[in-house]
Order: sequence, then structure tokens, then C-alpha cells
Amino acid sequence: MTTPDLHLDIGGARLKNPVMTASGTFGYGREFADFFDPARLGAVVVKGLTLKPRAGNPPPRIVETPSGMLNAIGMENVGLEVFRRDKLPWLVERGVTVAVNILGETIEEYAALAEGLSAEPGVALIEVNVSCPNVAAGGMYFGADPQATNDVTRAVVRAARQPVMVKLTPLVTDIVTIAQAAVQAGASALSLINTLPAMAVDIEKKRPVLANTIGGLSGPAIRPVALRLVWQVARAVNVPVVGIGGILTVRDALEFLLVGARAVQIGTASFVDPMAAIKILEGIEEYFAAHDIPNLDAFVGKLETNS
Amino acid sequence: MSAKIAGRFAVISNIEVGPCVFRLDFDAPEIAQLGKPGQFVMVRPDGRETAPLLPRPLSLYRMDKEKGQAALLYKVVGEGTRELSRVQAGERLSVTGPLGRGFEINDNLEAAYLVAGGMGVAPLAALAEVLFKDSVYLTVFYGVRSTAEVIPAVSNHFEQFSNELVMTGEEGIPFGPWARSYQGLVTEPPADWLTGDPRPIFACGPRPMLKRVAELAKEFNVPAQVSLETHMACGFGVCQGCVTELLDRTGAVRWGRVCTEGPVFPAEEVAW
Repeated sequence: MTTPDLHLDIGGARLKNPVMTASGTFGYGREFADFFDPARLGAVVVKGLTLKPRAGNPPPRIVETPSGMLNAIGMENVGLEVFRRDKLPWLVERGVTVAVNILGETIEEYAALAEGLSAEPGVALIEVNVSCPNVAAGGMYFGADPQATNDVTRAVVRAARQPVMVKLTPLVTDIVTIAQAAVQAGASALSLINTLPAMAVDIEKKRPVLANTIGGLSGPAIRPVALRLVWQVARAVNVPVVGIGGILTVRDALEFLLVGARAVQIGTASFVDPMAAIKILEGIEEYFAAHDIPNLDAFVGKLETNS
Repeated sequence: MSAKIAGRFAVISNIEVGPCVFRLDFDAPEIAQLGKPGQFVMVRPDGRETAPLLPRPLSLYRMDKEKGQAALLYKVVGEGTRELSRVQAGERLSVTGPLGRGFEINDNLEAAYLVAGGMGVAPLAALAEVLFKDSVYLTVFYGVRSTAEVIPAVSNHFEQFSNELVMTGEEGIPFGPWARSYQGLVTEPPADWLTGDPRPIFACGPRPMLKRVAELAKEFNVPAQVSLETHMACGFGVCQGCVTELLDRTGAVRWGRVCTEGPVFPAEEVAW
């Protein structure tokens, strides 16, 4: 058995392996330091960042649903300035490959975030969260419209020194059109899927469980949906695709690689077991070694198609 | 931040000790060693794929450092705890912990009141053992709705590890074999006791009960620490799902994470 080479390249950023964390499920990395060294991962995608700090939504913010959970955290985060000053240095000192998920309500906010992060050599990758209401377009998601996706991606790519990855929402009629719009605008990679808007009801109180009424569904419940969308997008674009959606085990991660994902993000699984991401990475290494798979090229997208 | 671990531990026993209330003992030397009263663990039966998906936060009930064992006390209230109640001795449990900030024990503490409502007995049982062994004069108020809800193992534990046990029940007179028992809310007798003998209070139970404890503490000018309960996904500060309204130094309301800032808070810091 030889040690497989699991590295990948995203727009010039080198990731040592294809296991990343999903934004909002890994804090700023430090929260996991008691459990394992985050520098072992391909990349740590930190909590979604806005220009100014956000307090988030009132509680209840989370609820477990069949094979998943809903969250309506409301973008609670420390904001760009505090992130750069208090959160990023720890990650850089530890040698963590850092990806920063950014979100805004206007194209100008996205561009300002990208510009602010460009000054940080410790940020390897910028992930653009387009599952955000576009204030100028009456609150419609940026990611629900090819033109808005193209515009916001273009603005971030222009402002950023780092390669840009666009995180797609599943809440669209034709995800391939949106994916192509992001790639045309200069995206170096696409990550998908974001959570699915959903709700839960308390019949005793006759109220929605979440204070925000609607929350994002994540976990294994969305995995088959994510797998289908990743398969469709990976066939249609020529940039790396990062699969996200309910990956709990190495087997789940391998499914995403087979349908064309060059990397995966581990999200809700890190709540179920803080060691999930590192166990999945070790599982991929073992699987590749045991099956004499030398590198990602020899496995990614190798799904045998019907007919 | 204190050390915490994530691992799989063998279940020693998991037995019903009260109506729908279970005591689960497991082998976990590190957690027994590191755990402090008021801290909690995230637990999930090992090998269950997605039902339940998320681990459940449960307070440490007993910690036996010599045997390297810890115990939890929980009531079956939903799917997560129902699955947990089905775990057999010899099976394994996924556990992350110890987590959160437990009760802060002042070195000069000479006497205290413990106010426990419902399943709030779990962390206070751990606290009673530590304080009583440390020669703190303890009066425990243990409140239930009706006599049938009394967990004998818990009342015995409090009799062993306190100077006085005061039982309260919202229904049911005569009320059991205890030397001191009252009909009413668990927060009613402490008001009388505090009048002549003010002491720090430690409390855990339903939120309205804790709110009343906070009022009493203010009225009698004694410190009170309360342990809050919320839903959590991760338990260590990442998911941001467990926030509750707290007061900052200026008295403004802010949202703070119960898992890392708590679950034990000074009563005056909670926005009731």
C-alpha cells in the first residue's frame, strides 16, 4: 500500500486534502483544538463573516428534525475587524489553511469584505455565500438569479487577491445555469449545497418551533438532494466542485467524490461528533490506500453512468 | 478553557430509578477526573445512525474519580432520551465533555442552600456531594409536583450529603416520610429560611422556579448561581443554537451561549 496523494488545487490555492469544514459548523477553528489539530484538514471554512458584527436571531434557533436539523442563527458573527484581529491569527499560527465564507446584503458589501480579506496572507480562499437576500432586488437571493450571481461573483473576484469559491443554494429551478454564471464571472470553484429553507411546528403551542419561523435544513436528510445537484453541476463546469450536504461518514464522502466533487465539506456531522471531519479524512486515506487509488484524479467523477 | 474529550465509553448500567427517570453509569476515567458539578456532557447512543441525530446535553450527576466512572440522571421526554433509555449495559455511548462552566465554589463558603426542581436535581446532587464533603453546611430544598415524582435514590443522596433536606410537593399531603416537608412550590420554604439565615443559593430547575430564586437572592442580598437548560446541537460553542438572553455590565440585553458561558450563571446576569 502506498500513501495516496490527496492534494488538490483551487485557483492556485493548494489544499493538502479534500476534507474541509462547512461554514457555521466549525466556529473559528479554535473550538475544536481540544479534539484534533485543525491544520490537518484540507481547509477550515470559518463562520460566515459580515462587514459589521451581527447579533443574530432570537432563540429558539435550532431544532432536530428527522435525520437532520433546522437552524436560524441569523448570521451571528464577530464582523470583519474582530475576525482579522482576534480570530485569524490563531488559525495562521497553527498553519491552518483558512477559507473565509463572506456574506452581504449588497454587492458593495461583498466587495468590501473581499478587499478587507485581501490584505490577509493567512486567508487562502474566499467562499461567497450567495444564499443571502439581495436588498437591491427586493430581498431575492443573489444565488437564485444567474445575473445577480454573476455580478456578485465578479465583484468579489475583482476585489480579492485570493481564489474565490461560490457556495450555491439548492433553492433554484436550474442550478447548472447559476453554476455557469459563477464560473463565467471568474469563480475558481463551486461549493454546494447550502441548507434548504424549512420549518417545524409545535402543535401544543400552535407555533413555529423557531423564533425565525424558517430555518435551514441540514444533515443526512438533504444528502440525496445534494448528491444529485453536485453530480449535475460537476458535469457542467470545468472548475473544482466541493460537495456539501449531510456527510456523516467516509462512505458518504466517497459518494460525493464519485459523482464529481473534488472535495467535501463536513457540517452538521461536527455537532454529532466533534471528531467527524478528521475521521472522514482518515477514512478516505485508508480507502484510497486499500484500493490502490493514487490520487484524487483516479477517483473523482468515476461514477459509471447508466446508458 | 478546561480540557475536554470526545470518545466512546462503555455503559455499566442504565436503570429506571423513578417514573421515566433513568440513571446511566459509564466508564470514563477522564470525565470523572475532569468533571465539576454543574458541567455537562453531550451524549448519544453509539451506532445509531440518524435517530436521534444530535447528541443530548446532560448534567453530570455523579463522578467517581477512584472508580473512573461517571453517572447521568435523565428523564425520558423525547426521542433522544427514549433512545438513550434503551441502551444496555455493555453497549457504548458517544460522549463529549466535560463541557461548560459549572458552579463556582468560593473557598470561604460555610453554608449554602440548594434549590432543586424536577430534573434540576442532577447537577445539584453532584454539587451537594462536593460541598458536604468540604464541610459546607447544606440545606437542600427538593421540589416535585407530586409524591409519585420523588426519586428515592435522589432523596437518599441528599439526606446523605446535606444537613437538612426539605421536601416540597405541589400536591400530596401527608408528604412522605421526611422530617421536613411542605406543600407548595420549592421556592416557598427558602423565603422563610433566608429571613433568619441568609446564605448563598445554588439552583437548578424549571425557568419560572429559577426566576423566583433570582428574586429571592436579590431580596435577601445573597449570591445565587442558577443552572439553565436549553436545546443544544454541539455543546461547545460552535452551533450558536443555545443562546439565552443575558444582561451585560450596563444592564443591556445580549444573547449568550448557554453551553460555553454557562450552563451555570450568576442569577443577576440572566435577563428573566
